[in-house]
Amino acid sequence: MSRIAIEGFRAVTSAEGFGDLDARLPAKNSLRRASESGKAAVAAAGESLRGAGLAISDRVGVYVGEQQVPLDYTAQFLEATYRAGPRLASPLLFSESVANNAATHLSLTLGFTGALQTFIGSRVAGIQAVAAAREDLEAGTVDAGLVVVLSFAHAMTAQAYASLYFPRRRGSALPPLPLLNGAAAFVVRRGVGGREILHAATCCAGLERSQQARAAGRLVGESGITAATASTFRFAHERSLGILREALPKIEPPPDLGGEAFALDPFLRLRNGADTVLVLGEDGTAGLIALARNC
Amino acid sequence: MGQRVVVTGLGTLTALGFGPADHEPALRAGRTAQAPITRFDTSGFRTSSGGQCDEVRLERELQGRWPAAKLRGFGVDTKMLLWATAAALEDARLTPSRPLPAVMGTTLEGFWQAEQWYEERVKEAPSRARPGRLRHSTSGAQLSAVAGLLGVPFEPMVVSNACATGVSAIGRLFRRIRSGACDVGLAGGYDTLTRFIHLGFDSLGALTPKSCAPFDRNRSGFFLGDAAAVLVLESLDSARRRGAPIRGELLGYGESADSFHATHPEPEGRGMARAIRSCLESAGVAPSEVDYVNAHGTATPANDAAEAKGLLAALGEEHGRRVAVSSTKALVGHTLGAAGAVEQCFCLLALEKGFLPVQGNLADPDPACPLNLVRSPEGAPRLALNNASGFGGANGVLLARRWEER
Repeated sequence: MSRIAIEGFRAVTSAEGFGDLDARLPAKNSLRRASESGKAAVAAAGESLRGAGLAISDRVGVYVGEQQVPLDYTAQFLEATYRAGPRLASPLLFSESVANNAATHLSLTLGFTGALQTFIGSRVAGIQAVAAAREDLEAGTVDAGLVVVLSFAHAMTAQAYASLYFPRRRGSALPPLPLLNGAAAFVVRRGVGGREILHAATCCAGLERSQQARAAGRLVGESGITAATASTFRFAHERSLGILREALPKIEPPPDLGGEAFALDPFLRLRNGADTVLVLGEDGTAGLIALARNC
Repeated sequence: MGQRVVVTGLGTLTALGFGPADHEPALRAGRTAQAPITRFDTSGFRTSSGGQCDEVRLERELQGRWPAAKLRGFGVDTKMLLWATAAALEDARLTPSRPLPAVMGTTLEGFWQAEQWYEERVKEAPSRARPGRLRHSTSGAQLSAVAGLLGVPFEPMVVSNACATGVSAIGRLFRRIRSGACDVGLAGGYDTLTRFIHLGFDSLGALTPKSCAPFDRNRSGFFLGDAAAVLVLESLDSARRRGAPIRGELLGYGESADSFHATHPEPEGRGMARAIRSCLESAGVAPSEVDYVNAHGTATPANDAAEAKGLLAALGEEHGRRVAVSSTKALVGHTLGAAGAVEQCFCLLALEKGFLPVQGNLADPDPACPLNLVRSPEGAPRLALNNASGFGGANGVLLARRWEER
């Protein structure tokens, strides 16, 4: 069985600056009213497809991974209904706030008609998207997959996480959580090019930290991996590293990416040269993604 | 073809009740759970009915198993998921000794908690918002909490394909077991009726101020409902080894995307038809063998007309007009990320018990939807198709067979 690899990795992030996202879309201004996350997803996907030379057909699946729904539009929608009344609920804001919004824009703008799947809910959502694409390739239900991983957190997200982690602090006493927003896209398919996916899997061990470490350890053990970069939540770096070290002594502390990127974080670390990223979610989930060295 | 995949456990919770004993009589009678919403203030709303689950009974049932302190901080969403997962494992007589794959679907996760946190911030003050509300607002945290309480580690995957979510989640685990990648796992969906989602669908004009009447000439939309439905999927070999009860067999799964509009289905039902054909092909079943279709049937003018065309295109004009069809959304409402899973549980119940779920609220069938809508529960279907579609033109279809030892 031939190897399954990723190709055409492209990322557009706030760290490098989005520039004119509309100009990067396949058809300029085709997503004029869309959220920034939808535009970034399509821009990264279009560039990735071109980079990998992949033609779209109904045998190409789309797999999107994101931790949160597009919260900018969600917050605007809710705020309008609280301040101006329920009759001012906006259908445009609502349809842009659903979790599979990016997948919708990818299908409508680029013309995907095959499998269209979105994975959400944790820091390992992007790894779930890769695992699903790999699974479908192995099952022969698709010939190739386009994976798009997103993080578009809202200022409200930063406040929410700060409140949750520091429940006794209020207002200005809450520590800031810098955000790194963006999208990464890449093609997953069989072939000789690209970087082979050695491992992409998630686990979840409930709330006990020791269980979480054991589950992460099992993933590492199954993969024969001896060293990895960590991907953990900023407010929990030290504690998470302690847990990860139980699973893997050679765990490298996460270099600063410039902001919290949630599900996008492990993929930016892979782009920055890591081969293996061990993810410990703040919610009890854990995951591992490992790629072969560039060939 | 790979391994045969059977369903060995079901946990279904909707506004109609808890488990098969509550659901079977309602499905046979076409009885609806649509009622005025009490969870949040609907003053000034255009529509104000929904399908809320019985939260008092839910609390009582959970507290019969876990101390109240262990459940503190859970929203109704997490509690429903916990109940349905526990019920499915119990039904399957499964006590896993190793991590269990869990492919769950949801569109809202624990958003009801986050929504209340946000409302406290906006209507009162940021300092008044209780951060504890956010603890189980993501599906990762919800699944971790459920896994912790059940003492069953999960390998989680959370799918969110709008209203096709539940079918997508089951389809993914079905394929995984069929390919031999695993022997047993959990799949399903859950979602809760919240103010945000109600206002969202209301703003699109999709909610009805009257009763939900799929495929009726005077249909005017749906109501939203709470639900959680979890299934234990297992290879036949594993189920036989364990001596597990078998509720039915999953034969096929198909999916497609319309690539037409963000919120409207493609009017000719072409995308739906492709997903149905793909499902039947993966099952190795001829269209004429399908006995019952649980339709997506949202009772919006656009969906039902497109779905009828898609069914006729995929099953053939003659068989498409003859096969028994109903949409159980008239009874439990549109339960979004749970819908496909709830409807799969209903299909399996109908196959196992030998009846047809009656089309609720059908007074004047729409001639634009020339389908054989179920008027009487009499019937013993052998093959049931479960059709789902959602925002972004995501379509998913499952095919199940009545369990027969062969």
